[in-house]
Amino acid sequence: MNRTLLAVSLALTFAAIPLQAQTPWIHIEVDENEADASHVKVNLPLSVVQIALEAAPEKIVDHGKIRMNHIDEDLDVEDLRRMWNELRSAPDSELVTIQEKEETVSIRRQGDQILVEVDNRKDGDTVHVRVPVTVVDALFSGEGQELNLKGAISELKSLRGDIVRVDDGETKVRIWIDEKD
Amino acid sequence: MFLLKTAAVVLLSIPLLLLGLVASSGLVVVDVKTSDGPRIVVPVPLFLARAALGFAPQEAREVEIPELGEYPEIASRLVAELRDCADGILVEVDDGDDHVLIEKVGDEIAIEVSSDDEEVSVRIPLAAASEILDSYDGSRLRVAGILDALSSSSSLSGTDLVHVRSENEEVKIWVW
Repeated sequence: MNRTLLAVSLALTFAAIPLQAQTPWIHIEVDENEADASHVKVNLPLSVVQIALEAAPEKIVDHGKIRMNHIDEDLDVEDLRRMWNELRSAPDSELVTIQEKEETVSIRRQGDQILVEVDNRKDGDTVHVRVPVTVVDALFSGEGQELNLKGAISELKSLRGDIVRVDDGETKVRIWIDEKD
Repeated sequence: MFLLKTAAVVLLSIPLLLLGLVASSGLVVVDVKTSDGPRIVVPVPLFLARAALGFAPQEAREVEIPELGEYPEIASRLVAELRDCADGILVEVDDGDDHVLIEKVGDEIAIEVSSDDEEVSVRIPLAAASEILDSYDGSRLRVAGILDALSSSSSLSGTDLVHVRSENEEVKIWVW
């Protein structure tokens, strides 16, 4: 009896370890290269970000949905949503390529990920964004001019690794998700 | 003789009783040191502060914070989530002149701000923060609720809640 109890409690202890380790944390690192540069590091559990989002002003974020027209009047979320609905079912391929003399922008699908890459040859700026299709789906699940930020963060919980890397020569930004144990 | 013994016991029991009350309810100590002035140490027994609150006017018993509005529920959930999460650095900003560090250490959030001429350290005990938020009634925080939180949180003992150190002054608020 005692051995069974011991075995059960040991099993429960070991079962609890991976569960505790699976808390996803979002990390944001901003590093400036110049003298007197700023270095910013933010590490937060995604669950904390999700709750903090509810404290955002209702005018901008209402029930986890961000109203983009309050931030950028030129950005039409409905157009973006329509475009996404056309592109989301496309197989692995280059979805958008804009090649200019000094800059190349490419958006492509690779498995269940959308990769956005910007390469500015003149200034040496590079941007790499990697977002799972499910996150973009969740983001566009709002209505009208709304983006469903809460849904997107919820989907981010299953993502691990780099999401955004920006290097414009002066500033480096890195956003990634991992598990902090 | 019996009367003398009784009087001695009564007289001895008063400071012991007071000591017991202070030990059980806690003591907030404000310690101010200036480079050119005297050091001022003000110990405030929490049981005394709570008792004095009974005689205070209504406006002194509550702190008006209408801005908190509908946020205490969100803040309470944030505090609960932070209490559950692993220890570590939450925010670190270094701009060459100032360094800001917000860290989760056990059941506390430690905030350290340092610049060339000043160092500020604040510790927010999450259990006490949770209790204080519970005392919010929609527009006001009850001072008694804050005192209760300070005296009931065993993790506060010996903690420097606030420590400010500048060239000419040092201020420390701690709970015993």
